[in-house]
Amino acid sequence: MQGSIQATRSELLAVKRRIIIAERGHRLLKMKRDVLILELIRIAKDARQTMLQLEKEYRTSLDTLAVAQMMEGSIGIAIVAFSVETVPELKPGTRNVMGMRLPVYSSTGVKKELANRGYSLISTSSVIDEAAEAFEGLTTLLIHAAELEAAVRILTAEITRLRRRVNALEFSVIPELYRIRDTITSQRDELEREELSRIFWMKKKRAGL
Amino acid sequence: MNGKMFSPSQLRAGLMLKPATPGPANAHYTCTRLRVRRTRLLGREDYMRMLEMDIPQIARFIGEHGYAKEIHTLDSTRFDTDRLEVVLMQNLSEACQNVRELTSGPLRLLTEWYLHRWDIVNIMVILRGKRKGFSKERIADVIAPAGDIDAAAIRYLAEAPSEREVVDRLVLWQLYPIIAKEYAQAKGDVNLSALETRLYRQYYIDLLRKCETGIPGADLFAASVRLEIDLANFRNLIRIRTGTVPEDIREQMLIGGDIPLDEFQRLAGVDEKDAFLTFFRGTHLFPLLVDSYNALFPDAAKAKEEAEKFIAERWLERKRPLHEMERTVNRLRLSRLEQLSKRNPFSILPVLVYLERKKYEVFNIRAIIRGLEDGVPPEKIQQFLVI
Repeated sequence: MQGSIQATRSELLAVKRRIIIAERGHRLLKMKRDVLILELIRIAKDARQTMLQLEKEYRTSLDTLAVAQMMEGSIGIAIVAFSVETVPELKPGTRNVMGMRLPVYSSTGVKKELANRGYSLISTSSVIDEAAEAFEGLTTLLIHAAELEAAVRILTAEITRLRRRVNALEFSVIPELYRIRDTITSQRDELEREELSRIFWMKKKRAGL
Repeated sequence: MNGKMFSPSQLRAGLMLKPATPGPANAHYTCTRLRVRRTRLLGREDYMRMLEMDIPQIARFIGEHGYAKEIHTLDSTRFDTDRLEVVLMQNLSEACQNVRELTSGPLRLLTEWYLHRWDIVNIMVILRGKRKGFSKERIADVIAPAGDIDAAAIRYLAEAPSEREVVDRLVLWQLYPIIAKEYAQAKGDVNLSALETRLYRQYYIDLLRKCETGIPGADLFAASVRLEIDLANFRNLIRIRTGTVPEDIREQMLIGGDIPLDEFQRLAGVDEKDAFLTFFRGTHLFPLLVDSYNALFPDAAKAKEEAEKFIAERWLERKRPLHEMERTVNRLRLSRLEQLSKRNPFSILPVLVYLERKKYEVFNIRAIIRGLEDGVPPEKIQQFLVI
């Protein structure tokens, strides 16, 4: 970089402009990073709660399934599973956080009313309702957890990238630009002094003649 | 319908609907044999011992107690509980078919009709399997040919290429008109859940009608069926109340119980404790539910008041029925039926008691195996056994 520096006024102005842009970019990236960190903290807190709840619900669902298997057997559960008519649907979308596209999953048909589960009340017992409801709740929670986990992954990657860029600007690009500016300024000062000295000697020489 | 016609002989050749053999029923012989078989079923001590065993030990134990043929088909080095469950159901199906063959005359007619509920289960599985496009092997895994339609006929139905073809092949089945009507009226897919409910409604209506034919003990059995209907209706009403209650709940209820459906309809909207208890105390379900509460919570000081409070609270909070209580109710209902069968030894009751006891024997073994596999404590498993 240094080899190609020309100690000209236009170069100095260009470097000064680049410094302004770099500093502005640095400030914006830092702000974006801070906002994303705040968002990450918020989501991570939610994700942690969701994961804990998921673990709890998973255990509860397994317990209800164990009771259902005891009462209806795996054959009974398979028969009920045959009855499911409407399959849940998952629609992926996004939400915008500081230009970042975070995933949002909207689901339909996960939680169902008793009448829409497809099995007849007469041939089943309430243990099936309980197991179905537990797993519907678990699926809903799982979708939410997937959304949060994906958001955490995306935010973490973006924050890492931003931190690298902020650090690069802060510790490499901007100091380098300042150094170039200083070099140009000092070279230009040197040239100016040389010019003054040359004029002084020329005047003195003429006066001596 | 796809228009493909089958003659009755073709359908019979398909081993469907073996004709009942009318004739003088040797009720004494049949009932005595079934009472002897009843005594050979697993008892409380056997179940308590099984709760202390691991699954291979249980398999070996039941292999020595009437399940040898089925257990020998399993891989003894690695017990697959799903496979074990399938062979248990095979044993049950065989036992039911055996009883069917053993009975004759009017006893057989009622036994066949009683076993008919398995046909509804199997046909619904086939219809649902066909709609989902499952293979006949996958369908066969969940079928228990314990009813009037035997295993070969079930296979014949499961091999049908489509749902409508299954319906066509059922032309000689007693409940065919209900299915045919649903499929004829449906514009798109038939609502299978509603169809199943209609089949069960008709099944119970016909079962109660068959009980009026003067078969010894049929009137007592009819009373038990009516209690079963009322219990099922009450249980389902509680289940319905946990979500959005439809305007008319009667469509989802069984017909033929002692409590009129209009009463259940009225009760669906009751949210006051006193109104609920007034209704509840006036039904024949009340003493049975109090007894089951007492059996479930033997430490309760004032069983009647506590049972009332417990059931009313669950009703008002729109909670589901307690599974353990459902099982206790079944246990009490069955032991009452058994007592009646002892007082009427040469009636339909010993036949039905044996069939019910055999069914619960299989269900109990299944509950123990599944419970132990899932790490459920033996004390809890015990609550789900119908002994």
